[in-house]
Amino acid sequence: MIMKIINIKNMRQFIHKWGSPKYFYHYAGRLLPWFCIAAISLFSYGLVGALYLAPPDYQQGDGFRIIYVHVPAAFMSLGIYSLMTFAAIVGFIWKIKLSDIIIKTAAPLGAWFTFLALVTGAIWGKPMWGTYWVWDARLTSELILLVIYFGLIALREAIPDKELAAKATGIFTIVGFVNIPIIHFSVYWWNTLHQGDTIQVFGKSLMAPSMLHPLLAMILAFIFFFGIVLLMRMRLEIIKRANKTLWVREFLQS
Amino acid sequence: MIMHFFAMGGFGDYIWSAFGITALVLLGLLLSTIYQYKKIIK
Repeated sequence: MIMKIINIKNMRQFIHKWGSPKYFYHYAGRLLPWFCIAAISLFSYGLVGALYLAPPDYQQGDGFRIIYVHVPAAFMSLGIYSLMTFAAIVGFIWKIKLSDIIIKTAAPLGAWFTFLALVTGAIWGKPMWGTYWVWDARLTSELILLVIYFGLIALREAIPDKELAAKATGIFTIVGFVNIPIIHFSVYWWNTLHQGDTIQVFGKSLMAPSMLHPLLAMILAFIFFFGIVLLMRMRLEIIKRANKTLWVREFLQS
Repeated sequence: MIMHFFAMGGFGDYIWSAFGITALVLLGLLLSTIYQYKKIIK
């Protein structure tokens, strides 16, 4: 029944086509200029909105403007991990090479965004809470996410056999995903200094449009920026791994 | 006027350091990737 609806065979063909490094290399290259245009326009509007157009907050004054780098960074730290988990699951089911390339190249980027979320959060905490750091649920679980990213990078380095390293990192990625909902719901499950979600995907956001629009622009800008760096690094990784295949040799010589 | 903008209602130090560190990390990621690209294509 379900087989008939999704049409497993076509689905498999579709995934294998997109999962083939050569095909991906080509299309990533065509996507990159559009991602650059999107990132530049969104950053331009987002930054002007964040630092100039948005009015000061009635409680936090101009201090609230840190939200425009803090929330996008935190969003990316969770989003990148979710993408890696998705890639790991798809990789295990359909055995495609591209999954491991995503997991390998996305991990350091995820770690940097987590670092940014923690640092900008600390800088925001000082004037608002009176301290850079508290061991509360949201902050601690986000710090654990950073440790998981480091663990993923270290695990791959520690295993010389590339196939085995890919498998082990894939499993570790999926297991580590339990931390993601914990981070997200930590502000509701435990008493915490950290405020709840400002943006609601379903329902009304707790922010005036003049403040909200630059924030949404910054989140999108971060997504496209991550897309640019990820696609470039994935293409590099594809070239490194397929160094001996004919199409890469021809490409490098041309 | 300009000074007023950079003062950020007394939060200038916090805001500019948060935005500065973010810009530094993002630029670092982009430039290191472009550098590797050029090295491999050569």
